[in-house]
This record gives sequence, structure tokens and C-alpha cells, in this order.
Amino acid sequence: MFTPIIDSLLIFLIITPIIGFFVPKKSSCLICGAVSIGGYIISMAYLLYLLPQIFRNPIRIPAKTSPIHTSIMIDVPGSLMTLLALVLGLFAAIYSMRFMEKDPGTPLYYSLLMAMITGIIGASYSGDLFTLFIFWELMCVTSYVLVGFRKDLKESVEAAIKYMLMSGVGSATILFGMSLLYGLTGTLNLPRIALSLKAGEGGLWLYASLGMLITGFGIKAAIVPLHVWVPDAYTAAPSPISAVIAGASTELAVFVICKLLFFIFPAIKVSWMEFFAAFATLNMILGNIAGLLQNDVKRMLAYSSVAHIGYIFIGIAAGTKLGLTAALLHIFNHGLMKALAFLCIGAIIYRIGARNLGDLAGVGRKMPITSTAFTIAVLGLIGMPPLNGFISKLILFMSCLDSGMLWLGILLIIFSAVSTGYYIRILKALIAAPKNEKLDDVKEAPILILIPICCLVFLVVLLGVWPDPILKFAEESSSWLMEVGRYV
Amino acid sequence: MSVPHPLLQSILIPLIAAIVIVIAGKKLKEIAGWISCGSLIYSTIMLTLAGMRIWVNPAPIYEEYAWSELAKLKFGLLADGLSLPVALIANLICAACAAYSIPYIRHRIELIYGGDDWGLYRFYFVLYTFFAIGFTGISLSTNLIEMYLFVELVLIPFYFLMDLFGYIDRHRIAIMCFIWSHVSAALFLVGAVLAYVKIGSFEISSLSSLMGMDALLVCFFILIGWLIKMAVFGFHVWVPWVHAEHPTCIAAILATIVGLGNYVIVRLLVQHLFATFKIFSIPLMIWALITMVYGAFLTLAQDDVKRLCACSTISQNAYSLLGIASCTALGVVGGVFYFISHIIGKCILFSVAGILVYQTGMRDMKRLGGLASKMPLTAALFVIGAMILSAIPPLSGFQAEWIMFVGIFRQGFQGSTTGLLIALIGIFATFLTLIYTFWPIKRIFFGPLPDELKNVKRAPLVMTMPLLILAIISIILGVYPDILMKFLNSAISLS
Repeated sequence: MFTPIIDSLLIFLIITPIIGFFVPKKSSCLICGAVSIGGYIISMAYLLYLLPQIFRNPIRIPAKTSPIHTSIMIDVPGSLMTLLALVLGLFAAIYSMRFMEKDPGTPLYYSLLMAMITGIIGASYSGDLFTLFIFWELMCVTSYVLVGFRKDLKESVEAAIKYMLMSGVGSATILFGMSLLYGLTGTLNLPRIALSLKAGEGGLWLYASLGMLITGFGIKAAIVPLHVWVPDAYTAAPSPISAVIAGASTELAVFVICKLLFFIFPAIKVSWMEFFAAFATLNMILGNIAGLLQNDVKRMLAYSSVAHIGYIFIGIAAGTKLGLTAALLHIFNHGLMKALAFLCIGAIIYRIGARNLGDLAGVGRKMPITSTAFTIAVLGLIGMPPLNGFISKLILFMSCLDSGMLWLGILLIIFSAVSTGYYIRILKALIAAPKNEKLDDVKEAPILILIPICCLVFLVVLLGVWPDPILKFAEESSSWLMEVGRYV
Repeated sequence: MSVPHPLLQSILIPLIAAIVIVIAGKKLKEIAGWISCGSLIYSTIMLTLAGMRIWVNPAPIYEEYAWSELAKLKFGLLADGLSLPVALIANLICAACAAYSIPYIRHRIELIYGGDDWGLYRFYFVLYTFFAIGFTGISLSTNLIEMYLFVELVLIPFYFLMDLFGYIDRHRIAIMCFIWSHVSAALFLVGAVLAYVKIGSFEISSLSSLMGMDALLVCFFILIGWLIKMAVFGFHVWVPWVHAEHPTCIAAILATIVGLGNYVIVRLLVQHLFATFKIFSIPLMIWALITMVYGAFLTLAQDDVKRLCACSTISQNAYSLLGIASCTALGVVGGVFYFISHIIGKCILFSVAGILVYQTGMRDMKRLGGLASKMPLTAALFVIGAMILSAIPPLSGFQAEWIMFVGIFRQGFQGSTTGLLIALIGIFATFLTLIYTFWPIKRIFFGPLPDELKNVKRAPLVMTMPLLILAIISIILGVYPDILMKFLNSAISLS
């Protein structure tokens, strides 16, 4: 088949519902969750085993490629994304073992979750446009279902339909862009496209195809005029799904944009910098200002995602190796922090059933561990040292000063300061004196929910205090993406 | 006498103490306060030992630890004649206030939340310890990002302490203060990263290789960032609010936060970017002068004891800034000396204000009076605090002020008439201090005793003793200023 990293997930996503069919309904959530965790662990173990080899040379499957052959290319940048997706998928699965216990159809849920993670991994490892599109669609389709998983709730069905319509249009646009590219170059294989574009001029059609690809992926990446599905979908989805979508699948779209830009279109590098600087600014402005107006914590986090995508675009706009490193680093760090934040608010929803700031007042006393974790996540999103968000924001800032865009850097700092305005409202709600009588007999979240939260807190703090490993990973990834010649 | 890694210990031991308090849980009760206080005393001793080593042999102590090589970050700690006294005194003040807050914060929790909430009590001391770590870190750090880290480390407990334990309007003010401080820290970060982009290093010592326009920009951002923290005129809005609404034990060390800007300006700009900093000299002096006079009048208008102390911080801090901005060796030395003396004095004054609130439950000076007979030691402490601020010998304020003004006048005589004019107005402005420090003494401690205050008791010794120690240190520095001058002179040489 492909590679054990993807295969193990595929095998387990078939096994899980079968096992779920045979076990009693009561315990199916726990058992199926445990089975699916096996898949993630095998996949992650194999990735870690392969990692030293990947650093030396990308592994191609199949080894010989023809112009229109499907191919997987296990390379360093893809591994960064895969690691993030696997970590988040694993934690979401552990988390769901308690979080989803009351919902029907959980075996299917785990299966869909694994399919979504498989889609993310496959898309980030794809060596040609066809594979990219297949896995991209796998991720999209499963995520529509997962967003609308609680099908008896009006808001989740509405959000799912909205999400599906927008994302469907996006996929069609992507396909159009890809076919244009195929027409221009005569191959779907990414390194070959890079080579053939380097040789000749693309002309107007190249711009058209680039525009379509960026629009298509931009819908998923929540570039500002196309972000409207984000708040609804993040809010309506079950929290572990919000965590994976916000932490991995939106990040995947940004990652793919990075990959396409630096891989395929270096020929027109000059003009994209201003373009992305403008989008970065738009995203930061809208995300942060709209964030200030929200009362629903999940919506607030969704808008904060929009703003953070803007920060990542700053790295792309810088267009240098440092900028790309910063963007990849922030993709990883933001994924961890945002997932942590969603898991924390999920734990609070699990216990008190509310997610409005007003209802949250005083939760800190009743759920100290969750609240501490939430505080750390929020401080990380603000960019407080010594958490990982600080390191990546610092490098983003350095990268845009480095390429002479002081104004963009100042905007980054200003909007970080503006964003504290709403992050701090979350902190305030957590530590406020309890007003709600419903809170009296609230207990700390169950252990299965706390394990992923604590692990993520550990990662967020560790990567802030000791950023070297992940920074090295991001640096290596960016140098692979910048020098396409190394792939051929 | 050589202790391994004294500087690292002075940061690490309080950190461990904070973690111990978190883990040990609610059973600790008041012991949590003593653990925090003990760890701060320990780090004060460590810094004293380091100070003795520098006293004998003026070579700076430098410790370096790995942080992240790829992001070119190092974790260095440097104790020289400039950073060590600042770290030492700040630490001492924190230790004193920790002891002071053991009874005070219990009382505060009872008032706000009703009953003993040992969970909150413990939380207070955890946050408080981080505060102290932040101060030591800011003074000892050797690179800009490390400094930024410690600035932010102070900021978070600052917010929580205010929101949980402050006075009436605490939730709103906490957010306001957080945003002001965050913006100021962010501007400082802009300067730091700009410097990095130009010279490829975050080290403070390499700042001196900046040239021309770049140096000017870096200098500007760092200066503006810290001037917001120092509450100069225009940026002063947040200070009276923040000081007045904070629990007193935090308000007492707030002057240190506000004043640390002086130290940072000397450390970064005067020592390493002197040529560029000189450009800002005259505008800064005028700005400082406006702040001095404005702050003094603002103080005179206050009826609330705590707001009084808060507003006086604005004008007192501007004295140090005036000294430093004069760009003469004596002016800078005097400015730092004055800053150290001022934080001691302000700590005493605020804490006494806290004792008044603790014992009488009142902050309004119109309703207080005649308390000297009831609380003689407290009254004496307030008088000492007032004497430090208004520079009356033999307290440290006097020594600091004349050294500083010698510097300012020297600049005045060498430079233009503007400089001389500033020096003259400056020295007259200091007279205002006398009014706003001694008039409240009369209003609070002398005159007829209102009936409702007949049963006021003396303050507990845990609260007054630490202040007494601070007062004694101030007297020692006043009688024998060479202790501090030897350190400062060894570190500050202007080229």
C-alpha cells in the first residue's frame, strides 16, 4: 500500500467500527477509542523510527515515478505536519473516550476522525497534485460529517451545511487550478512541475492557476473574505473535533499554500509578498477586532484562529528562509496551543454545559487543573514568554524586520496587544468569583479528559523553554522547501 | 567564601519555593507565606554574598546557561556594580513585603471573600514569588529577550494579584493596567528585535555596535517602551489607579516596577548607546521636569492615603529620570542611587498606608488624625519614609539627591542655558516634595483624634519589623553612601 504511517491508520479505521459492532453499546465508546489509539500509536512510532532517514533523504513511494502516477513523498516538511496531526489525533481520541460517551454512533466517529487525520497526513506527504487532491477531499468530506456529528442539534447541522458548501466550492476551484497547471506543464508530479516551471515562462495562465489554488485552499485556511464558515463550524463541532480542525486541518491548508508557493511558484516570488502581507493584515485586523466582540468562548477562539492565520501569513509574506521557518514553526505551535484551548473549553462544557463568558465565572475554583491549562493556552496564544507561542511570534517578527517590512512587524505587535483584550476576558472569567449556583457541585474533569490536556500543556511549556528541537525541524523543513532541486 | 552559582540560585530557589507551595496544597495555611518569605531572604543572602565578592574584587560575576542556540538565545546572568545593588535592594524589599503580607493578605481575603480561603492565600504567595523572581531577572539579565521574558513574568502575576485581591474597581483597572504594561513591553520588544536584525545578536553588550539611524530607532523604541512603564507625563494615567486599587503589599513594590525603567535605561542606553542617548538628553530632561511638577501638584490634590503615595511615585521617578537624562557621570550615578532610595522610602510609606487600612479600615485622610499616640512606631516609620522622599539628612534620599543635582548642574554649566534653567527649576521642584510628604503626616498622625479611632491598636510586629529593617538600611546608606557609590562608580563610566 502506501507507507505504514498511513496504512496503520487506514487499517484501524476499518477495524474500529467492526469491533464497535460486536461490543455492547454501553462500552463501545471506550473500547473503540482504545482500539483507534492503537492505530495512532503505531503510526507515530513508525514515523519516529523513520525520522532520521527522512532527514537524510525523502522516501518515495513508489520509488520510480511516471508523469501521472500517484506518489507519496515522505519528506521533512510533511513530517512536521504529520507529527502535529498525529499528536492532535491521538489526544482527541483519548479525550473523546469520555467526552463522546453519551453520543450514539461513536465507533463511526473514531473511524471518521482517523480518516480525517489520514487525509491530513496524506495531503502533507503528497508527491503529486492528484494524491494531494484525493487526500485533501478525504479530509474535507470527513470533517463535514464530524462538524455535523450531533445531527439532532440545529446549529451543528447548519454549520456543517455552510461549511460543506463553502469548502465544496473551494475543492472545485482547487481542481480547476490543478488542471490548468497540468495543462501548462504536462505532469502532476510536484518536483517535475517545479523543474518545468523553472525552465520556461508560465505567463497569464500560471497566475490564473495560482489564484485558483490559493482561493481554494484559502477557504479552508480562513483567509479573510473567505473565513465566514470558521466561527460557525468551530463552535458547532464537538470540542475534540474543533481542536483537530483548528489545530491540524486549517493549518494543513496554510501548509499546502506554503508548499505550493515555495515549491511550484518561485518564478513569481516577487509579486506574492505584498499580496500576502495584505492578507496577513486583513486577517489580523478582522480576527482580533471580531474576537473582541464575542461572548461565546469557542467563537472567540475561532476568531483568534483567523488572527493567527494572519500571523502565519506574515512569515510567508517575508518570503525568506527565516520567514518560512517562522511560518512552519507557528503552524506547529499554534496547532498545539489552539487544540489545547479547545480541549480545555470542551472539558468545561462537559462539566457545566455552557460556554458563554458569563456562565464561566468562577470555574477556576472548581476545576483548577483545567483552568490552569486554559490559562497557559491563552497566555501562549497572546505570546507570553516562556511559552511556545512567544518563540514563534518572535521569529515571525524577526523575519519581517529581516526582509524590510517594519510596518508589518509593528502591526503584528499592535494586534498582539489588541488580542490580549479578549484573551484576558477569558482569564478574568476563569478567576472571577463564582456567581452561578449551578457551579456549586461541579467537579474537576475526568482523568481521560485531563490526560491529553496535561500532555499538551507539557508540550506548550517545553517547546517554549527548549525550542531547539522543533526549531531545527522547522528550519530543516524550510530549507527543503526552498531548494526544490534537492528532491529531484 | 564561594557559593556555586549564586545568581542562578537567587532566581531558582524562589521558583522552587513557588512550586513547593503549589504542590503542598491548602494544608500549609500561613506557612505558605513563610516559605515564600524564606526563599526571598535566601536569595537576598545569595545576592549579598555575590556583592561581597564584587566588593573585594570589582570584576563582575557572570553566569551563562544554554537556552536555545538556534534562536540565538542565551540565558546569562550578570552581576556588576550596577545590576547587583538594584537586584539586591529589590529583592530585600520583596522579602520585607512578603513578611508584611502574611497577616495583611489574610485580612484582605476575609474582607473580600469572607472567611479563610487558604487556596487563595496560597495562590497569592505563588504569584508574589514570581514577582520577586521577575525583578531579580530583569536586573541580572544579559540579553534583551531574557529581559523581556522577565518583564512579562512580572506582568501576569501583576494582573492576577490585582484582580483577586485589589480594592473596589479592581477588575476594570487590572485590565487597563495589563494593556498599558503589555504595550510598553511590546514596544521594548520592537526595539530589541530591531537591534537583533541590525547586529545579529540579542546580547546587551553588543548594542554598542549599532550605528547612526538604526541606533536612533532602537534607542527610541526602548526609551518609549520604558517611559510608559515609568509613568512620565502623558503616560502617567494608569499609575494612580493601579497603585490605589492594588492590595497595599503589592502597591508597596509597585514603585520598583515603575522605577526599574531607570535602571534599564542606564543599563541599555547609557552604558551601551551613550552617543545616541545624548540626543534625547534635553527633551527627556524637560519631559522629566514637567512630570516632576505635574506629579507634585497631582499629589497635593489627593485625599486618599494610597492615591497620595501613588501620585508621588510619578514625580519621584521623574527625579531619577532627570538625573539620568543629564548624561553626566554624577547625574547618572545619582539617578540610580535616588531610584534605590526612593523604592525603599515608597515601600515604607505604602506599607504604612496599608497598616492604617488594616487597623482602622479607612483610607480617607479627612477622617484620620491624631494616630501618633496610638501607633507610635507606625508614625515614626511614616516620618522616616517621608524624610527619605524629601531628601532630609541623614537618610539615603539626601545623599542621592545632592549627588544627582551636582551632575545635573554640571551639565547645566557646561551646556546651554536651557540645561541650567532645567537644573534650577528642578531643584525648586524638589521643595514641593516636602509639602506633599509632611502635610499628610500632620493630617494623619497629629491633631485631634476622632472618636471612631479611639480603640485603634498597634500594628502587629510582623508588619512593622520588616519596614524598620528597610528604614535602618536607608539610614546606613545615608550615613555611609560609599557602600553604594563604590558599586555604582565601578560600573558607570561615561565616555
